[in-house]
Amino acid sequence: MRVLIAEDEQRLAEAIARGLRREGMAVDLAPDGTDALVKARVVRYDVLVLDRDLPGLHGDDVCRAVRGERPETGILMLTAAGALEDLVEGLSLGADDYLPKPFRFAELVARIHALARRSSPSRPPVLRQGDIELDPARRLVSRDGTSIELTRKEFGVLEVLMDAAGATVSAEELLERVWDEHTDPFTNVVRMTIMTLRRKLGDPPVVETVIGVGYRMT
Amino acid sequence: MRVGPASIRLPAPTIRLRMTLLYGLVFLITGAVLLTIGYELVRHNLNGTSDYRNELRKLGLTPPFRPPGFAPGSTGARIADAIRTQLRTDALHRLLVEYVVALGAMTMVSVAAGWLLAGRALRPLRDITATARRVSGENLGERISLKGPADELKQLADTFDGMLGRLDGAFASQRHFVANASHELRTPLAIMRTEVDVALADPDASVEELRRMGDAVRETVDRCERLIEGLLMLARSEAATGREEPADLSALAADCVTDLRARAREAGVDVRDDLEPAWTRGDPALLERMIANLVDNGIRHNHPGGFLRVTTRTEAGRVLLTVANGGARIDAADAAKLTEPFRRLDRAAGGFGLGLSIVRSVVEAHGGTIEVRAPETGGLEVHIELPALPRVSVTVLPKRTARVLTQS
Repeated sequence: MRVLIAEDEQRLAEAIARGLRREGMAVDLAPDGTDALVKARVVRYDVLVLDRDLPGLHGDDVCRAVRGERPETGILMLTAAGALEDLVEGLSLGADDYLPKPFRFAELVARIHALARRSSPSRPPVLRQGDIELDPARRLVSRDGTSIELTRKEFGVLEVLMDAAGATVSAEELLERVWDEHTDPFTNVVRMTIMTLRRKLGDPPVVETVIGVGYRMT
Repeated sequence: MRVGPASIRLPAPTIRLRMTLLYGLVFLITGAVLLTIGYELVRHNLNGTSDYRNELRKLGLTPPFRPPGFAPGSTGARIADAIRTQLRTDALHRLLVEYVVALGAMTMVSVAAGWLLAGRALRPLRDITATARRVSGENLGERISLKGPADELKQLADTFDGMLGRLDGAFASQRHFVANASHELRTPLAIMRTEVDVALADPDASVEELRRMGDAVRETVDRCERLIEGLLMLARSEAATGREEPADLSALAADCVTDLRARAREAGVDVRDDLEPAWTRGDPALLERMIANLVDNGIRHNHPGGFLRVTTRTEAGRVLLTVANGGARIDAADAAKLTEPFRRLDRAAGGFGLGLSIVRSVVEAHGGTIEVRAPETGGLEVHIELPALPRVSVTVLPKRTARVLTQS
């Protein structure tokens, strides 16, 4: 899952990013509204965590623009103004959820998961494909009832593939959705991760390579 | 209006009712006076001796000088007199009755008309009252905007609108302040909460990681402390301690400059001062804080090699303090807003945007004025005027202080 954090308070942004990365999310940071909008336009984020009071372009404007151009990106507004009117206004601008500061980190994580699920409406809370089960919120994967230990990136790749439900996913899309902006786009990390993932998932193989196109679940 | 339980229930003595009754009464009195005059005139004329023979002559009849049988004292003449008197009395009586009936009827008409007119004249007042009732702390946007000629009621409505405008502004700035203060207080809380949550959520967190978290939290607590100190200072300066004593701005400025000279050198700022005695009256602690904030701002928002100039003067009953500094060019409109709380041009420069608002509230608490200018050449100029210590008070002061004053 790929998340953009638009927050001008650098310390807060970094703390959130650290926490979310540990949850297996690919996290990018934007220190101001302009940067946030540029990034949200280029990359397909699952969730945008948006501080309302951003310098440059105001959070409300970012929210409106992203809502118009990227309907699939879930927007979670963070704000230090916790009054009811702010909540109503934030949601009416097109935000999907609203969290007043200070918040509990676990709640932020839970809401981000809920938003990511909402962006693909048919998606159940626990993904199933054959005998494989993946629970994104609890970060658990099992095959035939036996749990499997996966790294964050392996987990992320498997999540995207299972979410595609048999459709082919290109390596570029995997790179965009699982890795963050600091990854070299010409890297072979995707291929490496698919390899280790296949090994961990065991036999019979479930991840298939579609030559020249990408990968899919069978 | 409440009427006592024992008394008879009268209609509420509204202005409308009173005006109506007054109209009615005035009409009744003037009507009565007019009719009385008319009645008296008629009566007087009827009683007057009018020669019927003239009237007959006008008709072309020439009656005999004295008709037969009407010699004075004759029965005919007496009968004629009696008839004439009777006719006169009847006519006057009928006139009186008709006058009274007409007066009564017209009074009733005038009361009704008065009721309608008073209602019409007072309608703007009802609008004003209704608006005033609707207006509350949350809903100050409403205005009466009374249309019509510029009469007393329009003046009242306009005055009321003006007052609502000022109240609205005051409430809005207070709401703004609270929203800003809560924003500024919640942000560090959010940082600390997230730092702690993230660090504790990791069961394998290393000592370094925990230590880093501790450092971050401590730094954020420092920030909270500074913010709260600033807010308290602002509240204190607004409340104006009431402590009043003679204070020399030049001495306070010299202290501030000395205290901050090392920091200025570090920042590469050239500090110049031109301090003439400037005695005013006020709370020395607040005045010192005012100058310190200005000097501190001047150093912080400067560029290396920039200047900082502090000037004090006494002129025509006013003391003038000017703090000017170099730096980036600032938009004039932005500069004027810098004295509003939490207003800052550069968030990255640190600070909460309270410094200049504290300065402003100290100045206002001391009955002075502040002007913030952004020169074309960049930087900021703050001009402050405070009332000078009146010369009279120097003689009133205890001897020791007076001596100090004359020395300086």
